[in-house]
Amino acid sequence: MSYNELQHQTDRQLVERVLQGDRHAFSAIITGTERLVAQIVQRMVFRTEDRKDLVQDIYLKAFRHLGGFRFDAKLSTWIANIAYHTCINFLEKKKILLTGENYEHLPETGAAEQSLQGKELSGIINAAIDELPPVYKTIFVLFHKEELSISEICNITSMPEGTVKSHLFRARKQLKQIILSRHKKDSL
Amino acid sequence: MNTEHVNEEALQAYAMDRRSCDAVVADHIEHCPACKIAADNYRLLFSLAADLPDAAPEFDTVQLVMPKLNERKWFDWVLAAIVAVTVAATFFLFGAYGKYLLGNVRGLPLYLALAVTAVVILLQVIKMMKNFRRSCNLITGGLSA
Repeated sequence: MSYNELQHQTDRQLVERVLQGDRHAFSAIITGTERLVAQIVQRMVFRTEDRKDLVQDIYLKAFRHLGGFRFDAKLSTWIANIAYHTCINFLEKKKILLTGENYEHLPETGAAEQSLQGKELSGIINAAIDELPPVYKTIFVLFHKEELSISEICNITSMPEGTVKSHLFRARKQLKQIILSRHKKDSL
Repeated sequence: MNTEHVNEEALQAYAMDRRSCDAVVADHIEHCPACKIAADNYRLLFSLAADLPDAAPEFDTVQLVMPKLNERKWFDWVLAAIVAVTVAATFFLFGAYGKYLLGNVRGLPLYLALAVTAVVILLQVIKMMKNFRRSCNLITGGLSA
């Protein structure tokens, strides 16, 4: 039996237990998915207080709609989908730009690796990712950090494959430009 | 060697997986210093992103959510009670006016009027439920549909 089949079986058992009234099964679902939800919410929403409300809202929605989960995707993907759309709704209400470009175009100035040596690399890349628009940074992190496939990201964001690929391309390009511009200006 | 510089898309594809890259493109990147630097920058970026620390939940999510599940059940019962009391109060207060509204309607016409009213209410409830489910699907991106 493949890992995916095993995962689906576990998901099915957990969902059935929750629907039969077993609240502990839902806490197991929370424990199993909270890291992915945190990754999405922390990337998309700036304020910790807002994130706290959103995480609560995400799991309450998941609990209320669990009966409608059809096992077409992994349970974690389904909950990540709720997380993504809850954050998008929040950002739209706040009129925050979800995608776009906000960097200056710079020529390539040599491999960044040498220049970045001795610096806190993860801090630099984290700060640069935080400068991306919310949708770009989420898609970038889901693909490169969480190592999710394009198809899983499509399920989470409800976007067509072409749109996800296009956002991923722009996110990478923009991120590289942000790092290069910081490197040039601040002599990292 | 192809002397035309490769575009960003090809650079990203090369940095992701050299083997899946077109041979002509790969050959150019390997022999062109400018393109090589650009591809190396992407490769560095991807490896740094993969090595980022895992996102850690900032609060005890189980403690944050589980008490609210019970609250929600309690809230549903209160909501149901409010609806029931409102309907009962409406009948109690305005039920007496029903005979003025219907006048001397008796027998079959009365039952027909009541049946039509019941069907209209039922259709409205079904429409509301469909709209509610559609909203839920929008929230969950259609995965629960």
